[in-house]
Amino acid sequence: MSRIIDRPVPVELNPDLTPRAFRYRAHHRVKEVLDHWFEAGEWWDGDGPKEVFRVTTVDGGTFELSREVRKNDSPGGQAEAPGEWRLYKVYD
Amino acid sequence: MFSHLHVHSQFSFLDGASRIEDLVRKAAADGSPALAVTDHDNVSSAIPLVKAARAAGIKPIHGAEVWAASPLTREGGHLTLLALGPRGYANLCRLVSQAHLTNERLKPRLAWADLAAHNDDVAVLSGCRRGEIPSLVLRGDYATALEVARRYRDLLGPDRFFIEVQNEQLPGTTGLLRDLRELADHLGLRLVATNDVHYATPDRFPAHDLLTCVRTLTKISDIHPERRLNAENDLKSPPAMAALFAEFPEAIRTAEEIAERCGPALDLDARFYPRFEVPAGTAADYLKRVVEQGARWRYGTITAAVRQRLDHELDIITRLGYEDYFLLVWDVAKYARKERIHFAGRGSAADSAVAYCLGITDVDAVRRGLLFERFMSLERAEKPDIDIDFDARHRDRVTRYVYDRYGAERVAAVATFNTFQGRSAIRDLGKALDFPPEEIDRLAKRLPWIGADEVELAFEGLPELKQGGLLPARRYQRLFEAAKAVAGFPRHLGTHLGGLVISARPLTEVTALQEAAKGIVVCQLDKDLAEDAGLVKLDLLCLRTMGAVEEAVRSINGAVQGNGISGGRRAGAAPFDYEKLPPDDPEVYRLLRTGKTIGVFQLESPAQRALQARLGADNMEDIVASLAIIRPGPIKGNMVEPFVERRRGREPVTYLHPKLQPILEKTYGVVLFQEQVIEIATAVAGFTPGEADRLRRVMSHARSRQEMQEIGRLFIEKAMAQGVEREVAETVFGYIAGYASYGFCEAHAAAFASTAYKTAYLLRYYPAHFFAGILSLQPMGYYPPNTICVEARRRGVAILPPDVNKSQEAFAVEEAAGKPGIRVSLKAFKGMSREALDSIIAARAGRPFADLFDFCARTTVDRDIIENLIKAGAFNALEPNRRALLWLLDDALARRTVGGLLETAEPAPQDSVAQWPAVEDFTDFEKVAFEHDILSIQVSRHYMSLLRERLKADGFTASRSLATMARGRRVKVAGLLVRPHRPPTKSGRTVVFLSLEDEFGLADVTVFENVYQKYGQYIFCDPCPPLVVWGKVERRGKGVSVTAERVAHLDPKDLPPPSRPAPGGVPAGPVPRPARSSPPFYSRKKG
Repeated sequence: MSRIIDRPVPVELNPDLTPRAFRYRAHHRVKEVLDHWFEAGEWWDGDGPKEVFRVTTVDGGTFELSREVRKNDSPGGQAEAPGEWRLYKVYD
Repeated sequence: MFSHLHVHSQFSFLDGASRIEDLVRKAAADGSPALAVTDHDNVSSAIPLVKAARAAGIKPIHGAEVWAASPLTREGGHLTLLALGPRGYANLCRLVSQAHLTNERLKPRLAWADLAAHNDDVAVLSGCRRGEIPSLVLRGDYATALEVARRYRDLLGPDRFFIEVQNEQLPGTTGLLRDLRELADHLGLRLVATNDVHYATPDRFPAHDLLTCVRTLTKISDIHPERRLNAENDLKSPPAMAALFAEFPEAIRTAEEIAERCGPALDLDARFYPRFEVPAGTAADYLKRVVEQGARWRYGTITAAVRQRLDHELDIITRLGYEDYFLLVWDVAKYARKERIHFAGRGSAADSAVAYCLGITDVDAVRRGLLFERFMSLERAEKPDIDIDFDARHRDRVTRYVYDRYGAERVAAVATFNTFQGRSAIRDLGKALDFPPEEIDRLAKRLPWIGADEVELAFEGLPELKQGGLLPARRYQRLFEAAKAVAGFPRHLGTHLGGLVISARPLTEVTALQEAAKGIVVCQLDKDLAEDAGLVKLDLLCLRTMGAVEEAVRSINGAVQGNGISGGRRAGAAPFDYEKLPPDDPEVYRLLRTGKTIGVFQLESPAQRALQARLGADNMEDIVASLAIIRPGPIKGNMVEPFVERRRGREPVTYLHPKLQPILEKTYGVVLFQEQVIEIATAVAGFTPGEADRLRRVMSHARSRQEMQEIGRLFIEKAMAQGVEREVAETVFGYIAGYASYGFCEAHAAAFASTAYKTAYLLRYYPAHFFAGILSLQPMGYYPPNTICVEARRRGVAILPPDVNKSQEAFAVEEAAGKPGIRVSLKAFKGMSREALDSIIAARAGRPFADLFDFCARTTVDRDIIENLIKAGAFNALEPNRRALLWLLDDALARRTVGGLLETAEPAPQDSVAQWPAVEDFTDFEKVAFEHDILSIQVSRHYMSLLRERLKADGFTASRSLATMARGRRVKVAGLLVRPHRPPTKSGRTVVFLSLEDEFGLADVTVFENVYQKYGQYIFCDPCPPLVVWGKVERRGKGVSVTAERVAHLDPKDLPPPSRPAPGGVPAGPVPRPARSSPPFYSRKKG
């Protein structure tokens, strides 16, 4: 089960630009990046592409963190790189 | 250096968003030494890939992505096939063909047994995520994936089967790649890196996403598993691929190795000519023999000139190796003649005396002085292309004959690539972008026939779009951009109207085959690609005119059986022979000179009618010229007026340069034929055969403006070198450029002229039979059937109402008050089925129907059809009150016995219609509307006749009265809109030609740009009510037209009230439309 949160969160990064920790109600340290992918987003609504990380945290949670990554050439796409980090989803 | 081995081009139909040329350009720019194209289940890309790769200096690799049945389970999945060389390419074509031809149409599936049988020189990659092995891994069934991979390895070996890995950066990719590596290691297989490329650059992702929506019938906001989550399926550069596969460097190396192993697979210099089995000796000897026989048949005595000409043609034909091809076409023509199927050869083949002697064409090239070299020459050495028009109803029989005779492996229909044009792009993409359907429909219907990239421009310029009640342009911005992005992209593979390729070798050596609609086998090449592939094409085309002629001839000879049908020939006279008409009948030319040529093949459009009324045609050459001159090329080149004036002797014939005189003498100094353009280039500019051929190609394929400018520069340069003044050279080339792509070749015009003359003969002497033929073969010709009926009536031929007891399957000629009339057919009824037709004709064979009850009792005709029969008046002879019959219909059907026929003698008296309470019949207007909707013909009255009194009272001029009016007189005309069109003009300004139909005929109207810009929205709308045009009378020769000053829709409530109650309740105000009737008077489209 999971819940969509989709709200901005502050994220600390590793040197390779992967998330090291983030704050959502509490401070969560990333234990492992389980998966990592890109999404085009709703380009027709002006969304830019997103980079998504599914991570587990030291405190045992599983989260999806995302950010817009670069300028999109698609019609209406105006995202700047790098965009803000958002906590997209929380797994129960 | 890395090369991509899994790439989809535009030929993946709705799953590839970049053209091959763009993909190749990008690969070459990135430094890749090779590029494979692996479209879904087809090899259509093969030839464009070779050409583009040659131009870019990289190696083309041919492949395909197929859906392969599993060697182990009931499932299967995508598999990537690559040809390592020529044998591999032939096997690839076989595999793709087998996948298509052994499965349901459009659901190709490669059988394991076929892969096992035809895999020589083919490398196989395990496929994308939809491949069987990756999808098993993704589902967690690693063991089955391993076993499936083992089967492939055992079949193909580790040097021809590879585990394909794609780092598409999707959820699960990391794990998938890890598991596939483990699997490969376990089986001793190698990984190969690909990127499942669907577009050259990421900016094409939106176009691909939209194409996917079109393919999957989803809207842009819908979720669908086939829509890509990200824009990573681009043609990434080798460094980008290396970075993506940093943890799998061996996969990159394998891709490089496979690309190196792939050799040239497709030889564009190969020839796949057909072979004709001859009884003895060589094909050349046999051809000579049959040409000799044909020459005796055609000429009787073979003169020295004919002999010399035939020898010359035969020499070229045999030196180029086309003797089998000519014999094959001769055999097809012979078959058609034996089967009494009407046909006529067309196109440049009419330049050939051999084709004439073989009975392929009807144009005597020797007598007409046509040059064979325009059709075939040693210098050009291009493939001959023979086109034959057959009676549309029997063309498929001829095609079947060719398949049967030469074998399904060696014969296939030529494909067409149906590409996105303005309307189709707006409809498909509008749906995907979630525009309301009615909005899309309104927009699409108002669009003229333009490219998908021209829609935005049209929206800015066309009044029917600007003022057509559509939303503002900005609302459609995204749609316009999307349309532009897919402009010209193939949407799906279709079947050419009549093109067949016939080869001596199995076609699968050069292309793949698949099943098309109607069950015929089609190759995956269009006509241009087929020619590039070395195949020879034969066009067996459908021409409905041939069917109309056949029907007319049968009717004239009294061959049509039925009630009271009269033959056209006199009793005791020899049968009418269409093939032996008197060649130059003065009465036929007299008819042409009246300009009243509706129905005559190719001479019936308003422009042709206007030309005939002032040209003064009195011989076949005039008809040939007429056909060639009413074409966009000569019209744009302003050649019509000078030609007419010179032909009538009212203007001296002059030549810009003395060298033009021998070329243009027979066309009064005017450029009419394509051949003349080539001769001018040769004579004036000294073009070599190669340069002339280039010019011909630029002209005949409507190439780019840039190409035309380039060849224009060459022309002027070379002409000046020959001593021609620059100004003259520029003017002469101006003629050529204006003419480009829209002209007829003389031979083609001559071939069509023969049919035009013959149909004019039929119209002159047998109008009832000829119009009946035209009406039976609808849709055909230039006009809708109602216009044909109006014209028939104008010529004194009555249109007899449909009658369940008298109407035949086809329109038939009957005596009506001592004159021939045309009885409306049963087949003309909307919704009429074969079963219903047979049931009616069989049931009345014993005795005629007595009434509706009797009809229902003795036939199995569906309710909807009976309702249509009633509404359009087919029971009128039994009971004139159509509404009463509709009231009775349920009861009549209720008395029908189960399974059909109630053969119980006569109907009971209580069944009589007269027993039922009277109900008021439909109004005349309603009846006309029903007839128009159901038959596309207004049988009882013409709609405009119902308003005539009021129109007259309001000062409207009827079409027939225009003929007597002086030029410049202001008039107001009204009628049903017929065939509005906008031909290209030299100035680029819009001129709309349309006709207004009333009960007396047509009023031809010209609408110039300024008027069109104000009122175009009234003309180009759908449905279109009757129009009113205010304007001035224009006269040219015997022709008369109206130049419009204002246009509006006719609203009866604006007319004066009738002086007395209209017969049958014609309404004084707005006319009601009958229920369940489609909008009654829309005639923008034919029929």
